[in-house]
Amino acid sequence: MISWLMLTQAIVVAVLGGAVSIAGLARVRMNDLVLAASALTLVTLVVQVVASIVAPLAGAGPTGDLLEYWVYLVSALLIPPAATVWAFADKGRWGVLVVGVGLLAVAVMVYRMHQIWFVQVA
Amino acid sequence: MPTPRRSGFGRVLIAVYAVLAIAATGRSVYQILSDFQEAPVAYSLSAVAAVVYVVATIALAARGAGWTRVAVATIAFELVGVVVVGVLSLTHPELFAHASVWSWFGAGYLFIPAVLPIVGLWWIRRTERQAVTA
Repeated sequence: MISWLMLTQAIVVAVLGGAVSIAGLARVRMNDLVLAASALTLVTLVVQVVASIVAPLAGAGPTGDLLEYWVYLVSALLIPPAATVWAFADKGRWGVLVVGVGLLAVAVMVYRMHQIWFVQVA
Repeated sequence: MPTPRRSGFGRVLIAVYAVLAIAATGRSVYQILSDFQEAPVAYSLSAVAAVVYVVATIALAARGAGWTRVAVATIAFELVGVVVVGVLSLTHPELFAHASVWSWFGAGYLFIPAVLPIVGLWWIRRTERQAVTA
């Protein structure tokens, strides 16, 4: 697991979520870019699942609790697809805002995962 | 006629509720699996909060007058919960050495747990009124 890459992931997802949310507030209708943002977020999470399985095997386990980390990761994985499906009933601004809020939540969760893996205050 | 409660702004509201339900459930499952004896009060509270958020999310998204009552009841419970636990976590911090969703008025969750029930109750009232006048 690479610290700066995971932080970059959190920042990229936060920027995507922020941009999609602003688009929703600006009454932009549902479009391919919004779906792409959600799909990209999901891809980064799937990559993270692979890295999270491989890294401890390579001897680079988390400094924090592995169980807590996985609870976050599995929860985060559910959000982009669920938000996208839920958004589809509303092709207007509210659907876009649903995706934006979902991605912002994922960004916060990735940040927390980074803390669990790398930063222990206790 | 589409159900007004889960249309428009309601879709975002229910999405935020679902995220909070996932967050609360995740935290609770982890706390119970890891070491329940460490802080039974805070951990039980987390479990109760998780159940309430899950039920509130389902009730908001479902149709029918029965679900409306369930939604009002669970959301009102959240409001009471976040206020009572918020005050107690300030006056009796020893009970809340381990965080719950409602500790410090939900500060760990950007105070969303404190704001959400107010918005939720407002939204139910608004959509129910529309249903009456429509």
